Amino acid sequence: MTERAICLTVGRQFRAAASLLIRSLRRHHPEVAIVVLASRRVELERSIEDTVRRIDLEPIAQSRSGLGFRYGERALAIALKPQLLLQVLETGCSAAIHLDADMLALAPLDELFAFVDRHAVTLTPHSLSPQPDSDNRRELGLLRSGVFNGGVIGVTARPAAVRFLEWWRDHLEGDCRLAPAEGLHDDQRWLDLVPGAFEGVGICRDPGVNMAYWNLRERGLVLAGDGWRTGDGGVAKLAHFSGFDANRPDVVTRHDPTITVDNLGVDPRLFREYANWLQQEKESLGPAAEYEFERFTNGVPIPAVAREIFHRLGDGASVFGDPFRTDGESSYFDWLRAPATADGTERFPSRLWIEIWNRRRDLQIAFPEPAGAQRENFLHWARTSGRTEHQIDPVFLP
Amino acid sequence: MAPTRQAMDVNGAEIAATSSSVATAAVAGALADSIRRKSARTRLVTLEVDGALPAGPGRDDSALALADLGIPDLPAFRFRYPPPVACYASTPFLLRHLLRQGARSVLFLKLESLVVGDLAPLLSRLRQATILLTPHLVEPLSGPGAPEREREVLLAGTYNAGVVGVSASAEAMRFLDWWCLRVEHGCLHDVARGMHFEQRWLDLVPAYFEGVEIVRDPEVNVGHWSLPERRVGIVGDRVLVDGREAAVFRFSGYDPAVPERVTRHSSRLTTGEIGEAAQLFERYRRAVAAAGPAKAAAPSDRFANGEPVPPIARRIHLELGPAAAQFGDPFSCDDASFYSWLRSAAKNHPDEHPVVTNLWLEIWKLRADLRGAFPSPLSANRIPFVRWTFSSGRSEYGLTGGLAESVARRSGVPA
Repeated sequence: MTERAICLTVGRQFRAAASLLIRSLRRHHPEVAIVVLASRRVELERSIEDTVRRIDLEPIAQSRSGLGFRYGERALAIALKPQLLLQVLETGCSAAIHLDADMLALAPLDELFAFVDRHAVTLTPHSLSPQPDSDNRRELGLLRSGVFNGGVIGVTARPAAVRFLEWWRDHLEGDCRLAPAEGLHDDQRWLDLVPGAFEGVGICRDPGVNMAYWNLRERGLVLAGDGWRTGDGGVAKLAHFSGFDANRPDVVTRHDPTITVDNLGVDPRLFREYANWLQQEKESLGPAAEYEFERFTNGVPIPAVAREIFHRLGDGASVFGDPFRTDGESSYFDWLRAPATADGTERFPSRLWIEIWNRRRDLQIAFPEPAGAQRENFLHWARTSGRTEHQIDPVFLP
Repeated sequence: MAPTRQAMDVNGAEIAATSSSVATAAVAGALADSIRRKSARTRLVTLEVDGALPAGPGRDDSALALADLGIPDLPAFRFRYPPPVACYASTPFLLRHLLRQGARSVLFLKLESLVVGDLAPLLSRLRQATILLTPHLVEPLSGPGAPEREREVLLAGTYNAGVVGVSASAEAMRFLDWWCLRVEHGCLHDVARGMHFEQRWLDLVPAYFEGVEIVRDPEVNVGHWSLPERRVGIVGDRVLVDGREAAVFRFSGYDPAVPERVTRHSSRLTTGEIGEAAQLFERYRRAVAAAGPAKAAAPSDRFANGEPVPPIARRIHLELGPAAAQFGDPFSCDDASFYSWLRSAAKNHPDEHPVVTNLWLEIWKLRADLRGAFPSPLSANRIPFVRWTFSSGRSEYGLTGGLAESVARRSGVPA
């Protein structure tokens, strides 16, 4: 079988963007299978649903190490990329490319597929040329976030690709979070090891592929008579609107508010048109249903830090059974609200707040003894700033 | 300043290069002698970063000094980088110098290495490429702790700067020009910011440049990071790794005085756990001992008033980047000097005590924890911040000289 597939993982926030991407792909590639991994609650427009193959997220998230509780919606969608690619290769596809949902095909992707076909694994660098001056901030940013962008990953049905995907999946299921100081940047930093650790890795240096705010200054983007072109006249094939907000189309990305359509030095029409298309899609789709794994069973939203704490407990978390549960004894919910000491001293703030204190050096300096001399000040901080900063439901307040 | 001892004609040659300080002369000697024994046709150029090294077997080829390399503002470079770090930071300058002198290709070998086989196959690979890189991991790790070890590699750099090759080409020069630019102010250990001396910059190279050869052969560059996974066998005088003739073996972080510990960078392994590789560590220990007695470390650099330069002063100078050039000689203590600036009240400081000096404000800028705890160090949080400098800050940074005294005197807060 020589079927080629393009795979997308679509969360609620990206429904409109995914619709645009799928339409753009269909325009250039009616023959390619498009496989969408999404929650059953994520609805796409009917005309698009009919052209794609759906894989439900829920059974995968539940079956694979309780990912539905350990990860929030965003991290879950990222962590499941390799699993999606593995499942697609298992169906007999010869080549598959995972694209982030906030991309747009500007031209046929035949050259990209041809490159992917020649390698076990295809990666696309964020940047293709060195910063020419002594200002190293941009490149340090790349070193913290990863040399290769996780938005475009190509694989073929070769043993090395399967080995890579299984390795990547295991790492993402173990630790998929933003912690650059610890060598983690969601799914992305692991990719830096791939050209050394796996055979048959291709680094696609086509400037028309994966064009985004981090490389548009070096690559350029202009509208020529027959379509979008890079600054050097090549075909612009795949644009990536990472961090784009349709309500603020002149700010190219929320990841770096200093970059604007005007100072980027590229033709602004693509961003403005994309913003209009996104708005239209959003209006036609209507509001999204709530995230499947948003709340404990009593309806209290699960704080992100509670997911992290659970994740860190590792095998120790098994004593709680189903972590979503709030009734009965020994629930994780009650454990978070209990005082943080074994003797149950009431003076101690709850485990949730002590875990937050444990994670933040600034709090440790400001409140060196959160159960002692600074107890009241720490609790005041928790009830005011802390609650907002960590989006904690009042039920967890001290 | 060490004079150039001997100018080797490198024109058209395929050569090896390394760099050393006086304190590591014995380690450099062991490497040089190993090349002489195992790869006799390979000539070695040694960069002497802080003075002439004693002659020894294999060390009579050629030596260069930092002053030979065209490093911009060399006094500031020396101020920022004490000798061990200067060895790292000077690597791209050394390679660029040698290519400019006409070398056909240069294979850099970091200290704490032994050449255990002929380098010719590696030099031959380099001939086909513009840049040669050796990854720490040529396959994923497995077993307990594997993800954590891989994360350590991500923080240190995908490619090991202990074996790096360049061959004469415009692309290699483009690479070296860029690498020089980066390490000039960016050769420090700050993994949270994406820095690991000169090494992490190499992660970007396969994306940036054409003709990059990533050598995935397990026998090329073996070190603690790939042990015990890579199987090392000793057959007579030959060293085999995964059954193949090895070329370079690295002893990064090995201390001959603590022979059972594989590296000071990790407590994970003892030499009892690495099979026959332990024999190589013992061979390395003897080679270093045979190359000469350990040299006392050169006295650390001092400001013109005799006060030792604390590491945090080097760091702040480095963080200032090209702007630090305004102070001129960084060792000076005159009124317009870097030293005086460190002791001066921070810009826009209120006209009252206690005073936050530039030294402490720069430290505050470097530390997210301090920024979180004292969001307004010159106004609302000034007194608790100054109190922290006395209760913790001075001891954390080992400030006992005039820099610390000036804070005590100027701040008006009892020490």
